[in-house]
Amino acid sequence: MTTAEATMAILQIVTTSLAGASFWRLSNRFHVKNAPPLRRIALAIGWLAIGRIAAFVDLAVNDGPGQPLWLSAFVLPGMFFSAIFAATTVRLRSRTMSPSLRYSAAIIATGVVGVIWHTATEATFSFDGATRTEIAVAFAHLTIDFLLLSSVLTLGAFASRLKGTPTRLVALGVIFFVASDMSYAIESLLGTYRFVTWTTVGSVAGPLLVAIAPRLVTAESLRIRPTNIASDTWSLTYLPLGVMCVLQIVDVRDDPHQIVSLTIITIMVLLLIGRIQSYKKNVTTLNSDLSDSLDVRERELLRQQLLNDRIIGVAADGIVAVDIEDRVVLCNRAAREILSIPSGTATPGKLHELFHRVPTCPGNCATLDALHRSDRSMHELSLDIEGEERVIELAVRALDGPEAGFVLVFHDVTDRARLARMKDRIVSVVSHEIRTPLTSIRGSLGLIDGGLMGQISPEAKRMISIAVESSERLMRLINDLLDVERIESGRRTLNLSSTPLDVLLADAVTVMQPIADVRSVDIEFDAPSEMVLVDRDRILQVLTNLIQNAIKFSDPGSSIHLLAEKDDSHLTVTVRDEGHGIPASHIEAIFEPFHQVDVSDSGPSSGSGLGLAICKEIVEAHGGTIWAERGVEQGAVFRFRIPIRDPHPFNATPIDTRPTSESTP
Amino acid sequence: MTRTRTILLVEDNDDIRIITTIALEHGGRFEVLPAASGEEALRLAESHPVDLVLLDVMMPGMDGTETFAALRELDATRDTPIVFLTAKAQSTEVQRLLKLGANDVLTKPFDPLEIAERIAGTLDD
Repeated sequence: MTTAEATMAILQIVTTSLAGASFWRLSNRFHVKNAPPLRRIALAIGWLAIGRIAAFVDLAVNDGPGQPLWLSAFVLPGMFFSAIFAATTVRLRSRTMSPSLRYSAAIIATGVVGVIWHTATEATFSFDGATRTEIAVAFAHLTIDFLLLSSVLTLGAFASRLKGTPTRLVALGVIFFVASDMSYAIESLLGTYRFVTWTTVGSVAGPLLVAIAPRLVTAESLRIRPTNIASDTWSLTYLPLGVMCVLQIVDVRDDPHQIVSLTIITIMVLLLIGRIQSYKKNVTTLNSDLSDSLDVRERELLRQQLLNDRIIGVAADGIVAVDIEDRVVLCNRAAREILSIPSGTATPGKLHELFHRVPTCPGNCATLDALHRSDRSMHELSLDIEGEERVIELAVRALDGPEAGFVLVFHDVTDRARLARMKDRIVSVVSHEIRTPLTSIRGSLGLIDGGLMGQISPEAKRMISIAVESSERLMRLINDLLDVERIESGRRTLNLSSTPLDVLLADAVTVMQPIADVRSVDIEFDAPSEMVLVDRDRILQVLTNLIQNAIKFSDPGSSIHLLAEKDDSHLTVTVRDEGHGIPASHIEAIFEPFHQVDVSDSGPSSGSGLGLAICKEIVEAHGGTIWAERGVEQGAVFRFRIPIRDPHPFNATPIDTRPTSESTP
Repeated sequence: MTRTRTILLVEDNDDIRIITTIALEHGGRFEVLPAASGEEALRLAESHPVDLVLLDVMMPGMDGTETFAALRELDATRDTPIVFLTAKAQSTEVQRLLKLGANDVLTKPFDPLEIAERIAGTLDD
């Protein structure tokens, strides 16, 4: 063995080992799921490196480029599997490009070509000094080289996708290697092979380039998608192992004493069996695990789903869900019953078909959105179902997320609505029936008290005064009770409209002016002409109640001051009088129903104690607050603050068609 | 206050009509033409000169609001002051009647003596 030969052989070992180690290290840099294909490439190159060592030993012992056949057992599988695993890596990078069939065909072709040359071509061609096995191995070499090359070319096709020098370096290195290997195979077959020629240089430089490449790989460029390669096991493991076995068996047939080949065959068969066993086991456990966990989860989901369905099904409230395109995606039994959808017929597909009988129909998502965003959580809707009027109470909630839409929950409140209406009518009638005789009583007493019916004794006059006072008090009580009634129904129907603030105050003052005149009280007011969105009648009621209250506690000749202010967020109204003020102990309790401030002159001016409670109800129905203060010098200050609303189309036209009490003449 | 003014009182309730008539005619300032319904009021308004109409709102048949509109249609009462009598004391109702064009609104029950003052005030405006 010459020095040149030894150097070359050692270089071959070193560069090949480097290439293997390089890939191994690369595999460690990646997530474990991405490592296997790279690790396999490293192992395959490692196997090739062992072949190189064996060749070196052979060279040293036999002193010649004999290249015994058993060396092929190392070199061929090394190259072979390098190619296969390179292909795996490529496949993992893109599931769209599937070289499965091509590679399976190439693997089979390698084996077949080897065997054909071995059995068939020997008779046709006679190579001087070459045994049949040598011929077979040499042609297998060539085919494997083609395989390696084609896998490298596939990699090359990905070069643009991998965006980097590493892939190009690998491709270049492999081309070097393949070129030298092919020339070796042919030259050794022809008997002209000599160690240390340019072919040997190629087999050194090739692996060197391959060894450098992984060092240039960045984590970014080799992020392999974690994919399940179990399905590729057949073409990537069993087939190659099987083909290599066949080649080795052919080898052993020539020389039964080939210990190395026999050992390799045994190892490969064992590997194959082991692989098949573990695959079977994997598949079984995987399947049973999958089916077990799927079963449990599916069953749980199904159970939950059925439970949910049953809950929605038996719910007493009607539940309807719609998507943003107004399609009905859910309609439970109660909803069908309330909307009188005959059993056996399909639920209408569109929302407006479901509610088509409703005059103010929530027929599309715009209406639903308005309902959802309105201040009230519940809305009353009148439905005309087969000529019969039904009233439902409806709540609308928006569904966010990918399955966006609305959920409508409603129940039939027809009976309640009827009762409420009947109560309103009774209250209205009764109040009129009470007022009329009361007016007669008050009138008669007034005539007697005024002396129109002749002179009466001072005692009788005192009694008459008591009767007059009591009849007036009874009247106020009736009025306030009716107001409470109205407020209760008003909480459901806040009839908002845009009103100029100054007009609102002027109207209140106009109504109260006669009473103020009687007591010689002056009313002053100041308000901007800005628009506010309030329930005009109710706020008017608050204002008149507060003014009435102020008049009640004002001395003749004093003034009452009204001030309305509007800022960005609130409307504030102040009613200030110059009377006796409110005792500190009453400041809080004054808004409670039937609360009376016990002041010395309360006698003639006392009311039912409901006026301020009504004010509080109305202001709070608007989302505001009302409170009393003691005046700076004298008198009392009543103030309420109402948040300013956005004039919303829905609020301006309430869908509640319920008449309030006393609306019937 | 030199001459006696004629008040057309439209009120379906007999008691209230009588009491109001007594109260208004006391002192000789007013003469009352009592009518028990809207229809009767319209007939009287056509045949008698009237200085002011005192009109109840809640009445069977033609109610106060309708009578009001009909009176405003008549040549004789087109510009005659009309004062409503109502059992609904709510400010909203008072507001409604004033908006309608009433000259004043008196709520029941009323002090019969005060009523004369209020009417005199309306006529003097």
